[in-house]
Amino acid sequence: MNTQMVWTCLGIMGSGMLGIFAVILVIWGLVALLNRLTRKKKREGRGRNTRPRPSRISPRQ
Amino acid sequence: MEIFSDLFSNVLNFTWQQLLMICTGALLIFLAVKREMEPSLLLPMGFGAVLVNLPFVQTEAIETLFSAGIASELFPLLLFIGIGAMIDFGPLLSNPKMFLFGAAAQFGIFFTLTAAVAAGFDLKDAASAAIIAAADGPTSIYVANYFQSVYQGAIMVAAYSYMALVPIIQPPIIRAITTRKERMIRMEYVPGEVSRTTRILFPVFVTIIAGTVAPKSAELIGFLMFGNLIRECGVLDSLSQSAQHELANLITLLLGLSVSFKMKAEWFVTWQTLLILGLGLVGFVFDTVGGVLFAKALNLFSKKKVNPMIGAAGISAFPMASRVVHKMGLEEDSYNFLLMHAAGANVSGQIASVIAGGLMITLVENVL
Repeated sequence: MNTQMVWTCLGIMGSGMLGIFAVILVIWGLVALLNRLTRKKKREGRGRNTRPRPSRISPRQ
Repeated sequence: MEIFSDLFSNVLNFTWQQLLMICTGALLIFLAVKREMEPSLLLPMGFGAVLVNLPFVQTEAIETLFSAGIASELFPLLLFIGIGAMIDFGPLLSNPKMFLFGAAAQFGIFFTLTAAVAAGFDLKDAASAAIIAAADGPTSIYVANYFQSVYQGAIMVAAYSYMALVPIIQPPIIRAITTRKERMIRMEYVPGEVSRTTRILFPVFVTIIAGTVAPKSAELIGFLMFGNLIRECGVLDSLSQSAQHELANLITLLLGLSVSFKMKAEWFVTWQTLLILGLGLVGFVFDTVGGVLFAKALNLFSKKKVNPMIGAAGISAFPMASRVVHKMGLEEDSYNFLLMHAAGANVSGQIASVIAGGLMITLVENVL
């Protein structure tokens, strides 16, 4: 058994898992930001539109 | 008599290794047809294994398919377009915490790398064997081919077989490392709205981020996200449908047959192949262990407890892993619906496994 290589692989394991979590955390943050920004815009959009829509009443036949 | 002996003289040229591989091919076909285990891949692989192990058979066509599609990395990438088009990231985007479990469940990849090196494989072959634990066929093919591993055939058979065996592999491991009380933790699902803008920007940003950090995974993640983008953009419905059906089916058909080129007896029937199959299983086990233990660790610090089984759903085998977790949750508590949480973790695992593949290539190349 190549002990040196095993230790190297343990180092790769640490770097690899850290790397995956780092990327995932960045993506998570980005998604959270996107969700917040796009949700806010929808709420603001609904609030501004206060003009009553003309009612559509079909003529009685 | 002489004519007959000339006609059937090739029968005597079978070696026991070729007969063993033909039986292996037949077994894969049986598993595909009777047990419905990944039939779209195991059946072509099984049939191809039978074909390439006939004595003095001409395999130029299969070799050409292999060179054109596998050696060039083209087939896995094209398949990823189809897979990306099939995936709905909605459950994940509405509950982004599930991203973490996808990351944690890739632990088995790096654990298996260490185990493979300890077992005597050189670093390239160890990395190729370890990527079986990505539980993702195209990623496994991509990485194994990148390192020019001679065990590609075994790696691909292991990857697809174990993906199909997730419902058998995971439950006993989950039960062994969790208590009944933990398995009964209820998780409320509140469906959050995910805007169309988020759905469209997500694949673009993931490609940029993952491709920048791990450039070796840029193609893999890029093609996966491209497939997802054509699904979510809303203006390419026919392309999305073609990617999900015609493209995915065509590539799957050719992929299975091409992979069988590496199932020739002289390459496949070795002790190392058995070891690779064993290491693949170790990888899947430790993926599950990593995901579940991470969830348990998270519970130490969070008020809102997570059912630790969700960690096991972070493995990339979609959708089997999420169904397994959902089913186990219902077995413990018939009112505990874990499917949407598990699905979120499962699709996160798809992304994380590709990133892991890219990081594996980058980190191993730095050492070599």
